Amino acid sequence: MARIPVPARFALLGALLLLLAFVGLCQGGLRVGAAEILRHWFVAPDPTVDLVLRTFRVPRVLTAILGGGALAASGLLLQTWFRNPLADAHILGISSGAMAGVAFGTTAASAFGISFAGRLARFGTVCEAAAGAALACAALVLFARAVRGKTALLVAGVMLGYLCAAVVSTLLWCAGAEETRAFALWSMGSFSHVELRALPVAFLFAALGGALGFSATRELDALLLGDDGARSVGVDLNRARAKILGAAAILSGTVCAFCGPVGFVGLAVPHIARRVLGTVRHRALMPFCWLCGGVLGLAAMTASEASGGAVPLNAVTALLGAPVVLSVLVDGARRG
Amino acid sequence: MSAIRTESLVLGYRGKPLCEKLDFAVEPGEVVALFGENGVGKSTLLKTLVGALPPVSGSVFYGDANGAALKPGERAKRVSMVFARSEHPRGILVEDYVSLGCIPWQSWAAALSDREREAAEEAMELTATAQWRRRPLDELSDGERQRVFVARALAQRAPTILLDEPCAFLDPRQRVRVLDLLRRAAEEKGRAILFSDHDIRSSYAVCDRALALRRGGSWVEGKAGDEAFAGELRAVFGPRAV
Repeated sequence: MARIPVPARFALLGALLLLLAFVGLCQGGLRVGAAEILRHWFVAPDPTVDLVLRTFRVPRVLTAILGGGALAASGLLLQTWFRNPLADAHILGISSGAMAGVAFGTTAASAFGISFAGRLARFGTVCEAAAGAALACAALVLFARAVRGKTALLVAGVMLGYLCAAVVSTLLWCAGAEETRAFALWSMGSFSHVELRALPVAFLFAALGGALGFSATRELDALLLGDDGARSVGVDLNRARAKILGAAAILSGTVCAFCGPVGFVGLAVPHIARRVLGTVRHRALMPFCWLCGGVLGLAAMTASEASGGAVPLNAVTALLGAPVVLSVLVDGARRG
Repeated sequence: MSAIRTESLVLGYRGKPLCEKLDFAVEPGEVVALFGENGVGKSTLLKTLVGALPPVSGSVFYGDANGAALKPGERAKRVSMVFARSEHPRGILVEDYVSLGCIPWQSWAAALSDREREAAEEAMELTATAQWRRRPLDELSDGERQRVFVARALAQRAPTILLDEPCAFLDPRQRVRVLDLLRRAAEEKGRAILFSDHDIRSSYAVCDRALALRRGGSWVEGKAGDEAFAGELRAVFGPRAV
């Protein structure tokens, strides 16, 4: 690995991203495969292929890239800020907040006879998840002011997650069986339900969070020296916290809102990126995480689609992500 | 002009004073040792000087700039510090760690300009750590790692370097190397060095001056080699201290 120069590592990963994106475009029924798509692009435009691509395939692929990248970037931000290799949106309860939001919406809507599918189509779940994630973030900010130390805040986030999970179970007990089933399906996560018209909104929020995260590059590097060390190189920790946690919340909240609680990408990708890139400097690591997250998002999406959606996204990300985290732990133990 | 100077400085936590007023300065090219028993306030002084803690009263001047009027980023260009328990992420390479010292001079994007690369290079040369540039920091021994920490502080290009017990946990040979390094940073690079230490005898041998904090909060200051000052140090730290 050491012999491949850093720009080449970016290029290789970029090529892998394009390849997986094409695989993602070719997947699915409706008799639109690689041959039909290539013919449509290069020989004769075909309105059916165009419709299929526009309606299903392109949104799915773009969502997987954007969602995976955003989750990975938010994971990196959180791991650096908390100086903890296990920090991510799931551990901190942000995803659980989004789930509680949607569970609340599901219960309330079922009382009025509005179905889950109806809300899914009209961005109802997106708004509920965004509200839930935002509330969880607000709670974390309040905790951050009240507790001393980053580990305490991390534990507070874990407790918040448990609390939200309990709220979800209680609420769903009130909702009907059909609605509970729909909620369970949503909570498995999916990159395939975002429509083309919703993409610009998701893109806007991801760009906002991404820009905020990139603007904190210097502060993130400084945090590698510890809190005292960061202060001694001139970093205002309050400002850094606002930027870093704000960016992480926007990024993970956006993905949660549009794709459901997708786990493991945020946790695993920063570890992969550090290993592959061989540096911890965020100037290179942050863009690499976006790229790497996009690749993992696409890989998970194509694997899930290959099973016809029978294996849910969260199962695939866990299958891909858990071994990585385990290998990091084992490697850490070996190095002492 | 002094590299760093205090004026009626009173240290403490949350407005509670820890010791008497301190008027003190370190000149460029000078090595000053800071002595005191555990818990009297050595680290508190260093943290206050680097701006990590606000003073209870009084002020700190960096060159001609009053610390209270400086933004954190500007202060970091005037004073750098090696903390007692310097943190570093697992697997960070020595050259990456040293270049983290350049942060005060970088823009938000954290790009390394030629000027910063050069500063990091010089720092690694002076500390003889360039040979490990591509090695992970956590593979080095305590003494080797301490030299990398000093290199990082040098790369910050600040006129003053503060070090909180840079020789703790080091064997005698490594102690001498680190102390020698501080001397060279002062003599060759003109830095003002203030470091705290428990081994009074060995650091008294390399410093130009020393500052001691007595239990109870009073300060004693003097030149190394001054017999009257040595007597005072013996009175504070025991007859065999120097």
